[in-house]
Amino acid sequence: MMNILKIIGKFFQKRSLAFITIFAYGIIYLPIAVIAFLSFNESSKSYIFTAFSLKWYGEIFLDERLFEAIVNTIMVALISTLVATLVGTFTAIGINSLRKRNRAKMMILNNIPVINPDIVTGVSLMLVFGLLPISFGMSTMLLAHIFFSIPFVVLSVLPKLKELDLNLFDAALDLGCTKFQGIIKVIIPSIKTSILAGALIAFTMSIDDFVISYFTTGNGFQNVSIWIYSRIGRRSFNPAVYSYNTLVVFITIIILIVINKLGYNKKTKGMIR
Amino acid sequence: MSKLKKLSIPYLVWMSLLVILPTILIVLLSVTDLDIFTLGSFQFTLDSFAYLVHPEVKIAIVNSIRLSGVATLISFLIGYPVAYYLANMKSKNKTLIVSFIIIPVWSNMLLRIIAWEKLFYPNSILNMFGISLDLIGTDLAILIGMTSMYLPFMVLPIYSVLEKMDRSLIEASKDLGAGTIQTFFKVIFPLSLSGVVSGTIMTLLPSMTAFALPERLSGGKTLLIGNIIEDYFMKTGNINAGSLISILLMIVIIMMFIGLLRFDKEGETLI
Amino acid sequence: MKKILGIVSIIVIAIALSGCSSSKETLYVLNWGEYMDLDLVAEFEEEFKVRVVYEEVGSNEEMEVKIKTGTTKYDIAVPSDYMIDKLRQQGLLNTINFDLLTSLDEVSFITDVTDLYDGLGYEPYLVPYFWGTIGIMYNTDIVVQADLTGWDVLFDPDTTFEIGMYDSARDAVAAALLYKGYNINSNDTDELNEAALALQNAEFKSFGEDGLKQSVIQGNLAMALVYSGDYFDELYAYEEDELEVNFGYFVPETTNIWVDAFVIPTTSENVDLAHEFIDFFLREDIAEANADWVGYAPVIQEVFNTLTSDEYGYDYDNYDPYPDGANRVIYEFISNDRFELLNTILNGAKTQ
Repeated sequence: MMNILKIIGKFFQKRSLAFITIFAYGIIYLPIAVIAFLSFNESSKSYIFTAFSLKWYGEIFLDERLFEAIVNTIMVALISTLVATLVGTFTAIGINSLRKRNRAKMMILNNIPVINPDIVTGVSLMLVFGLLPISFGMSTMLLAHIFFSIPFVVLSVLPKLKELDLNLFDAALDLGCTKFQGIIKVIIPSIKTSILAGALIAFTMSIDDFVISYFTTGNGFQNVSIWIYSRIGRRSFNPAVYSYNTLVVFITIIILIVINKLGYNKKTKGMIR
Repeated sequence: MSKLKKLSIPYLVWMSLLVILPTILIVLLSVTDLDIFTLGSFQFTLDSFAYLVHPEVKIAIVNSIRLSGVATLISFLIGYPVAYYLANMKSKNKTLIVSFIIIPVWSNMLLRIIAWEKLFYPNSILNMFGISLDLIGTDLAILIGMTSMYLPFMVLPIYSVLEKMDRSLIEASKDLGAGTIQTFFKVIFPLSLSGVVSGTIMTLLPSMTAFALPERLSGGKTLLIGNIIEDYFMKTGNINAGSLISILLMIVIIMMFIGLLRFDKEGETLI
Repeated sequence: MKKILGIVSIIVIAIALSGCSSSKETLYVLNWGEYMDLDLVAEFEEEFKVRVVYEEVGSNEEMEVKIKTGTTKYDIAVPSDYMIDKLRQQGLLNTINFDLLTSLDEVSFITDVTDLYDGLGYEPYLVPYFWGTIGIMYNTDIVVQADLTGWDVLFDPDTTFEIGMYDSARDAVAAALLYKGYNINSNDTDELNEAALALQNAEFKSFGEDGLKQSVIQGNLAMALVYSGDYFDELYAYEEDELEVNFGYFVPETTNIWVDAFVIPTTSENVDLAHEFIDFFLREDIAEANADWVGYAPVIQEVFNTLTSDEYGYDYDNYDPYPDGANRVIYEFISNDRFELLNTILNGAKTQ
């Protein structure tokens, strides 16, 4: 027994921990490195690297369908994040003021989309939207994204709300604020970082979603994931999508470094949580 | 305080419409012969249950549990030390380094799967470095893929618990004569369990129900339960059997979730 | 905070509005991957001042589900023979008004094509588009002619080759039935069991769709079951880039022949425009350009003649799906039960 403990103890020595950490980052980043590598490949054949080239970066704007898919992805992500953040924040304020029993019930309902397998959520939404008098496409995909984003905003905002002293809000009302003003002036400013974190999670979930979008779109409305899935192994699979992906990762890294340099450490911590 | 209650009502309506209604519909589809496309009259029938004993469904269930279980275990074995290291790191760029683990999520998951797929064929860009892998169709390929995709979701919850842990507890433990190892197993690890539980859920759920990942990395040869559902809904049009499998999957996962979250009374520490 | 939200909302609204500026008539087309020259579709849009929304799928079954779910109100789809029969039997297709297809005054279909489905009951619902065979695409660096003895080359349990199988129940089972010497439309339990066993015992490296041809060229597969056009598609691309061609296409003596055809689903809200679309692709010059781009064998006699003439030089082996004396069988829609059985057989082969 002691021997095992000793081995585990060794394992937790700094050097082996550092080694595992590097390995972990490696396994997470390797596919991204491969994508970046292929984005600079002159050949469109992915199994052979012929020469360095930036031509696929220009292709992003020349391939109409791909560009459209990129615009669609960003648009859906922005709108759904905006709506989900607004609705999610107000809902969380509402849930927070419920009595404990009801709050727990609401949280169960809230958590269902989070734990439900994507594929089941996608299928469910497809079935419900099929009953509604709306045509499939951007509107249905947008509704779906708003649907799966709100719970994340609620989950992100609620813990912070709990810490909040709601007497402040009552005080604001006593001082003549309307309820709405009270929320905007008192509650929202003190949960800013959580709202931002929730928005970031919502945006991330939306921009990367494939399964739910796949089931809820129609009429030719594609996001990048669907564009990729319907072209795997085909000639119409334009390597420009590697370039797009590399750009997204690159820009994210830059933004992160800038935020870090500016010293908004608090905020990034909030985001990770 | 109660003045704000009303704000949760629209959400209740919205969620009922989009969670409860489809769930009822799926249950209905799985125990009747209702044709979703025409929505005509229907009869109760247990025909769909016959699919549960189809060899392909049985194998897919076993595959899902086996592969997602092993992938989650690997993610935990790698993820815990990583979270531990990151939490105890003393660098002024700590937040940046931690944030880097989440960046890959911004990269399209399908593309990352395709990238692994390309490496796993014998003739690949790896040949440039004198390496030739032949992993397509093996469990190892799927496990590597899953670990690569879902490891960040294991690391982050554990990290955030370890990071917030009260240092004085650790010191107290040491003062009372416990060694490093004892301190770890008696104090640190038990206190970080809620993070481990969140991480397990966040890794287990998506890997269990993945369908694009096994499809690409197994050369179409390993079916998971997600592949069966996709097949039934999108390829063979067998909506009733697909619904039954979906609803069972949903029940299993919610049960698992409730089981794992005994620690968490209100289900609020999911992220 | 407010300011940021304000700016974001303005941007979002601006983008959203710019997205729906066109109020043109829209035609929804459901087709296979790489199966139509999109420049010609653009030409159609230009000429008729309409918008074409074009979607691609990988199998007949996916096409059927997409038409049935009604998530998109398709005006045109391009399923294969047996699927047309199946769709028709479910009342999902409009009959074609051949009077509207004025291009047919100038051109005529190859009689071998129309004979294939003559008398099968679904003629009024379709306008043929392309036809072809299923066969074996192989990498010439790995496989030599002498290895290609027939369908058995795919099913040898002790094979040293890496073999890819098409991830389509009908085609995979058809290949197995042919290997066993049975009819591809067999509904005999014993024969189907033998086919299932053959599929299970075979050593397949992977199951795929459009990606198989690339894997063969890369040498990651030695051979794979493909559609004739998969091969030709790559062949033309290689000839165009003047690359060395390291792959071939082998058609065993007896094989399946299929016809893909335009149909107008009952979901269509624009039947007249759908006819215009079909008619557009029947124009000789358009059909010629399209066939040159797609690479499959055209069904219009005049176009076929032009393409195989010296001008185009499409006189390759196996370009003609139905050479004189060859043995070709078309799929028939037999029953839903048989279709489900085929799926079970394929899934069984995948998971063994």
